[in-house]
Amino acid sequence: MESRTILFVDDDKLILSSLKRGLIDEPYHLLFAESGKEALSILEKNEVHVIVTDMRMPEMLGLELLKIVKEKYPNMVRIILSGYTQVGTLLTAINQGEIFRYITKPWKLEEEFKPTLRQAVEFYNSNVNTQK
Amino acid sequence: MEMRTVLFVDDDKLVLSSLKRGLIDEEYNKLFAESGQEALSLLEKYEVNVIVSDMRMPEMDGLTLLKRVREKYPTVVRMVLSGYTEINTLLTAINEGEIFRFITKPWQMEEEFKPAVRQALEFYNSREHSTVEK
Repeated sequence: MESRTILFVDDDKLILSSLKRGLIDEPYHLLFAESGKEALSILEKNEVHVIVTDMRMPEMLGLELLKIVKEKYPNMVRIILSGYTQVGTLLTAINQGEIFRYITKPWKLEEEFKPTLRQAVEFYNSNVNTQK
Repeated sequence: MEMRTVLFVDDDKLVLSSLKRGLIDEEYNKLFAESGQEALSLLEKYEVNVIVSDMRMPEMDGLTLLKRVREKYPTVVRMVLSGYTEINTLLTAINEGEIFRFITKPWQMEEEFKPAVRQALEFYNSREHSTVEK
């Protein structure tokens, strides 16, 4: 199977570089964006299968980004990685963003985050297989 | 298209009868269960497309039920209708129950609940179509 592409979106560069380091041995093609705008322009040029975004970002919020992604690229699996967790935010994320997972910061790389990415890729693959 | 079926699970009979009344004109079959066990036995007998479950129920809680459903009937679209809303409950429902919607009680029937169930059925249909087209 071809390698899958995951796009990470966070306005905090330290988070992105920490993800990059932590996922270096994982069998995915990794892309990184520092804003929702940058994420959307990356999506126009690349085929992305899973998107992992922060919630609170200046200009475009993670949820807005995910709503656009859901409409334009409905097969893309949507995950939130956020330290900002309130009941209202979570309800909106599930009910409007139709997210696959909501991971809270600080995340546990081995026990939680890596398995989540694997499940997301499997979920993508199973959806695509049924569509062929 | 054949008639779709939605299963509602709540240990509170008043909630079930309120749903029954409120959804009487909706064009899908409705099944009602007062416990997770009863829901599972209905699932064995009927082809259910969407399940809407309460979270806090005696014996089997909603999350346990939804996880079983996810394992045994992965195509059934899973929704929560619950008054019990804490961050951890929500995170678990999303991350372990892989739910499509989480509606809080008291729910708004017209603006929120009916559209949510319809969207769940559409979601079910869209996935089924994609399977049929192979």
